[in-house]
Amino acid sequence: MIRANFNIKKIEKKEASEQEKFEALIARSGVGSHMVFRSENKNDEFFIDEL
Amino acid sequence: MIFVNNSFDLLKSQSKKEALPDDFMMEISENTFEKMLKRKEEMGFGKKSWNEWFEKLFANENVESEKEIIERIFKKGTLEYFYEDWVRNFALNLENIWNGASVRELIPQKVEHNSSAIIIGRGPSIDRHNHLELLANSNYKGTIICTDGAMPKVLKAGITPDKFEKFFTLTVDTVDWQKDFYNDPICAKYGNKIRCILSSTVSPGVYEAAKKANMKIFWIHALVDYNEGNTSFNKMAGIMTRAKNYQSGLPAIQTGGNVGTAAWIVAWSILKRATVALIGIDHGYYTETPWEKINYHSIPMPKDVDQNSEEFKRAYPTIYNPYFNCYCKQDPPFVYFSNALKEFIQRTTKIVKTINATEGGAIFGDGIECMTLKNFLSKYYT
Repeated sequence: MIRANFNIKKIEKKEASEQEKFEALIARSGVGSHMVFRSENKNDEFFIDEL
Repeated sequence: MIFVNNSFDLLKSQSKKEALPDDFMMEISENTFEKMLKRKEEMGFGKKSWNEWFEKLFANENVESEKEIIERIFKKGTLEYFYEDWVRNFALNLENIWNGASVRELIPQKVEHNSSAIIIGRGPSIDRHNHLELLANSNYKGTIICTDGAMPKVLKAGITPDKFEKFFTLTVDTVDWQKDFYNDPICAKYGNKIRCILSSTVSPGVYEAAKKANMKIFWIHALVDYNEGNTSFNKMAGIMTRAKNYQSGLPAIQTGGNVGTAAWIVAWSILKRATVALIGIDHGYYTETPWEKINYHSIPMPKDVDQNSEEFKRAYPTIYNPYFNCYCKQDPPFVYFSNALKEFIQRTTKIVKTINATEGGAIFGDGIECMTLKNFLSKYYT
């Protein structure tokens, strides 16, 4: 093992990007009364006959 | 000190978005360093800084579409807000589920290819175009699926199970105040002729209110985390449901995040209707209605939001509906819901024909036929 010998400089954080502001705005808008269900098996996404 | 190798500390600190400590150091093996150096050069970053290379690496990882970003944020928020309610409500409903009826009883033996249904939501178009009056005065003989929130107004408008015999209502939301819709006196007047579909995670108060109104109740599961395998809530709820009286369990449906989309799913997957029309399912608002007067999701617009900012214009878009030649504006929940519903409609065009008869709104595009309600009622009457 070696200890990192490159100089780690702290880069000051910029003001929140437009993307971060966008995501924050979405998060503040509320939550769905339910949620969209996703599955790797696309056939399961609409309905399952027997659960 | 944070170690790169065999340490979870780095992951933990990243997930918390902690500031980079002034004394930050990391330890890596010579072998790892050589691999990093080689890959950095291979990617054309030989003379560029390590930070530029790291930014490139992470920018290429999991590039999300705007639709996926919105889904991710809503999934996180909804799970944090409602997961415990789902589990608690299911536990409290279980005895009634065991002793009640499955929505499977509503699946017809024979599929009628000319059958249709109208889903009724409570979006603003319902008043603007007098759709309830138009439907109430029609001779439509098909199926009515009335979302819970619209039910009192729909019944008062004369769209009752006395005239429209195939009358259903549906609740998938978890919150207790949904019972207020069922407690309206007009529901008790017609309740014994209304078939009510309830998600196994609705508030027990909703079940009690529907029962008090003499509705026939049919249980269904709402899909939330079935993809997560045997330890998922959906799987466990299924096992508990099958523990008594339901050897085959209950059918489970996609809700699309809201009762209107859940009603559309029920129309074709359970009731097997070949054509489904939407009224009052706008997933948006009229542009002239100020945001300050909109409280549809029970969360008012925060006062400190800059409505002229670029991020606001992205999150709260105004869209043009070319089929009805009108504009509509959406908040993030309706962007989330409409993205999903439009995708689902496109994926099921071989199973169900979907007609937007709202005469506006955000539900248009590939696979969606748009026509006025008057036109729909003249073409489809069974």
